[in-house]
Amino acid sequence: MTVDPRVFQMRLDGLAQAMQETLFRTAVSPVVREGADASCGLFSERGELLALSDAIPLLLGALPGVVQAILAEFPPEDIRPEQIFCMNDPFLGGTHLPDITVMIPVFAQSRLVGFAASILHHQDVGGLRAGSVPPDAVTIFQEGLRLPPMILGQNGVMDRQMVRLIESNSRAPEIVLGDLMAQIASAGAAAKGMMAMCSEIGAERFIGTAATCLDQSENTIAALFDSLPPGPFVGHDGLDPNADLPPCEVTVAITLRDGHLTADFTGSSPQVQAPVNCVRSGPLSAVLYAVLCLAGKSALRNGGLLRRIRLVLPQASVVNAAAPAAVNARMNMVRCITSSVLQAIAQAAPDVMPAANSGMSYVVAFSGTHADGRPFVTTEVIAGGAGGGPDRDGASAISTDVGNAMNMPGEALEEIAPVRLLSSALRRGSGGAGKYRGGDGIIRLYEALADQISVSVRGERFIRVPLGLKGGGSPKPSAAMILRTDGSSIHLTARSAITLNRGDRLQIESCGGAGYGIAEDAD
Amino acid sequence: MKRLAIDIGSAFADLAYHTEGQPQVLKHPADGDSEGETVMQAIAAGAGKFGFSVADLGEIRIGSTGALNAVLKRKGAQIALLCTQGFGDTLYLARQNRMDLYDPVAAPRAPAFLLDPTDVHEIAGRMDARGNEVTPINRAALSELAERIHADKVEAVAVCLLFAHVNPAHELACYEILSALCPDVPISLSHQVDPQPREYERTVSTCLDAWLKPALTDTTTQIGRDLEAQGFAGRIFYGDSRGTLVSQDIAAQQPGTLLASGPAAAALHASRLRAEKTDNATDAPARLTVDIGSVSCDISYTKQNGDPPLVPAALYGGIPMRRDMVDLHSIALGGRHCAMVHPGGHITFSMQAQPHLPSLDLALRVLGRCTPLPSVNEIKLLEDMATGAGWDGAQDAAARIVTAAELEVAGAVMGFAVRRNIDPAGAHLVAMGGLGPVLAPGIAALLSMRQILLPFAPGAAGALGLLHAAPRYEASTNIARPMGDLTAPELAALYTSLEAQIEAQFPKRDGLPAVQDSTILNLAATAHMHPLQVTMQGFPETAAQIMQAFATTYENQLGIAPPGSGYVFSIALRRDAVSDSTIAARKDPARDLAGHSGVCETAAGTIWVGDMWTLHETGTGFSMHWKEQAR
Repeated sequence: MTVDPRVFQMRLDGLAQAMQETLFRTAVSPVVREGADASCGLFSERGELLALSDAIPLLLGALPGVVQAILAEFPPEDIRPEQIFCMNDPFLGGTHLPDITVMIPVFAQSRLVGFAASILHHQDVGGLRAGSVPPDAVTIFQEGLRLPPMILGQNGVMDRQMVRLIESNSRAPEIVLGDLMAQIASAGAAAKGMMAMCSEIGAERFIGTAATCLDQSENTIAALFDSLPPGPFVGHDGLDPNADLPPCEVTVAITLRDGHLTADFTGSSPQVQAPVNCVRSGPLSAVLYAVLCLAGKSALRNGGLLRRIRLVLPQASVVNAAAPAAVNARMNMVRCITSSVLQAIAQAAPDVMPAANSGMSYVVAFSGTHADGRPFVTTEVIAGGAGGGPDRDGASAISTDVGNAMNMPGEALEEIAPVRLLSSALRRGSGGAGKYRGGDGIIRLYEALADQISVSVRGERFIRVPLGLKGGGSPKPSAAMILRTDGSSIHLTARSAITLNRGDRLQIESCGGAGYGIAEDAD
Repeated sequence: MKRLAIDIGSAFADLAYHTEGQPQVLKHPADGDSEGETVMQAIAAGAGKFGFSVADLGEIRIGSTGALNAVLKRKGAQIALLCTQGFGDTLYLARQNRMDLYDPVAAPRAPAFLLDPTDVHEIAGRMDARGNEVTPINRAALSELAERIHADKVEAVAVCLLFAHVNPAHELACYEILSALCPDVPISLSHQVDPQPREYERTVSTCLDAWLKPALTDTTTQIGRDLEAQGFAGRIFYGDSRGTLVSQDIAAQQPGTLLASGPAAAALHASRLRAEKTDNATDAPARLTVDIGSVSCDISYTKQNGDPPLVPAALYGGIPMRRDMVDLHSIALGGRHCAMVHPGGHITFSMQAQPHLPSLDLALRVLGRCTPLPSVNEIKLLEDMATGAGWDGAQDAAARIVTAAELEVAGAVMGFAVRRNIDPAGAHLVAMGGLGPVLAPGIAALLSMRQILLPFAPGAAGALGLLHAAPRYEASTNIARPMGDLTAPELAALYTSLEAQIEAQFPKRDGLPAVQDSTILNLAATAHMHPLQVTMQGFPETAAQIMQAFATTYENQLGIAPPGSGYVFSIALRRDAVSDSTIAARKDPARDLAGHSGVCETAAGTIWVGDMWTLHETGTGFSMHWKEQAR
């Protein structure tokens, strides 16, 4: 019996997707349930990526590294079928502390055939501020509970000691434990699917076909890299300049030689005493995303692609921070890295790539206590606009490149927290002009329904906006402000921690996408 | 009882007439000026062919791809939306995530075609999350708005206000004022169409309802009136997206339920086919069904000879649906699609009729896989295409077009199957519709499928499926409260009320088969988690019974215990009639086609038996086997 590798890969992709859908349905925290801030993957018995869910690409680069880190601590030959593993250490392959990975082994016909793993943004893992994304952190020790590769439990149940550890460290232990159980359950469901495939075709053939898929993907991408001009192609971007922050600049040079893509980030800024640094998983996510875009449907989406990607990362830099750097607000640094990489890729494949997107996402967290004393904490992600072109206007109000978070419905927010969404609208005219316009950003207005609501706002592109392509214009920058009940207003900076009292309003405006081509050429 | 089932497609209205034993089928051109007229013309044709008089019919069952085709062609009513102030962009903002993760040019998911931005009206008034009024509704402004809607000649209105699923008072006030001032305009209220939280999804459901309603209301009314004029005194049922039948009133009130009625009925027929003359019901391979008509191709599946599975929510025709429907995937590809050649020879299909481009249907006729023979001018279209692309004449161009279509369908079937953890190579392919049976051998070969099942009349599968379907009556109510709050007396009163609503739905009880009751509950662990649909036999007497059923379903489907004490969004009482229309297995009385190859005409539709396939009869249709296996 032969197994078509394309069919095999599609079935694994289907399992990873089903795993993710189970995770979203069972997740307790709003940022996962509404925002879809989680990602699932299946791995080979050696820990190579076999299949990914269609989730948030920001997390894609993390899972392979985390699985390797766990296997470095717990070698495959020692792993038992009942074990459940976890980890969130950014410096060992993770992203930031709220993103905890849960991994289970999959055994079939008495042998290890692979792993199922998910990474999920947990609501609170301790640290300086509720939500565990403190804008004022300067070291990782202020950001929460750091878990090296550990055993989380066995036979589908968390160990009592781990439960107590999380209960002692989180402001929202019920939500975190609920989401960890959702991760365990969804991994179990994916494992069953992999076992069913093994019983159809045999464990040995499963492993062999998985290896064939990895090889095919590697060969396809090597041929694609060889077909492109070698470069180097240079991209450059950076965070908004800020008086309190040293420059946070990203420079990348991409070369395509000998069937490999090398992304050299030499020249990027040293790491800073602020939580905007990012670890290795960030550039890896950005480059993997760009490669997946380039490959389209030609290559099987698995770890074979990773075999042909080389990263050159300066140590202790904003793109590859070293302990004990603070990293919780790394998202917009990853967006800058992605923008730089996409700029470079656009030079290699100019007919495919659009003008720059907003290059930002807001992460807004509300926390406090309800009137009855129950604590609440909720996080949402607000997108900007897409870049225009090369053959159509950019979409408005849409998650782009390594982001794909969903928005927070007004009905869900008010159910969770004493915060009322008064308006959610397109920010008309915020996209860059051009033959193909950049998409508009979003404008959201909230009202506090109680006193002492802590708000953490992490945005970007307040000052430095993306440039248009081929004569297209730049979008309007992001903005955020507080409107107090006494009529006063405060303009916020890109990273702000504030307190709202009853009746205070918060207005958030996201950046649009850049335009493509000269506006006068538009039809 | 004399029963007539009619399935209206884009090109044909298919009829299946059943008294006892064998159903008879007829295909009639769907060329009436309206869908209602098409139905009446088809019934007249059926009366002539089968020898019945309309007054003698006991039951008429109607299914249609009209709603789906309206969606695929983006042709619906001009609607207005009334929404909460500050939320006029909800439909266009959608949920912010994109259609294809790795398309460098991000494409949004919103079905923006439903609503022109100039027809969105924000109105003052707000409820809070518990359903308490925060700001009263502005009745004077509503009256002004009603006048504007009247002046704008809007054909239907959708009303979707925040938290209407918890407290509908403001939506009801809108209805009161609008219906008084615009009595002829149908109004869809979100708390009735889709009483679940999340404003984007509810806005889509409500807009879709309004967008489809005028045409469907006209159709059902016209059909009812015309049949009555011809002395018809029986029952009229409409097929719905679940493969069940609903009354004429429900069809007109809830047009969204009909979106996939034709494909759902065809999927039901697929599940009833035998694979062999003596079919082993247990351990049967999964079935993947392709139903390819003139504008769309619907893909469905069954496992272990069961009914087609239902899903509580789906993206169908590009629209996020939040209602029960057969698990279907529809792609825009059918016989009328025109083929376009791109640089490099790549072929794509377009729904836009373009006279200089050959259709898929024409390509199949040139290859001799269907009739009638092509005209000289038609052949010239393919010759021109071949010349432009550097191919070897009309036959070569036709073969390439057909192969491109087979590849597109095979890719879609593959994607559909693997998401349900089915390997196509181990499944049977069921082929239906006008083009399914002529494309099936090619599709099966691409997917390494070795057995194809076809009904006796593959071109009338939807109509035959309607004969298998059973009536379903349902009454639903919003609860929006914690599970533990429901008391036994409340539940008893609820049952009485829902039961009365159901009884009112079928005044004509004569000849109705036996029924069984079940309860459909939309439940979640907490108020803000995603709902899970739970089905209970009978009606629950206590909250504890609901909790038990919820916990069991949750654990079975999702693998863990529910992380919360339980919340009830809505409860529906469902009364299913047990289907009494069994269609006997038989040998095709018209012709014995076993062993034929090439083109075979059936009572409805053409079958094409490729070189590598052999044809057998099974009692419910045909089975095509890959020759290697047959030997």
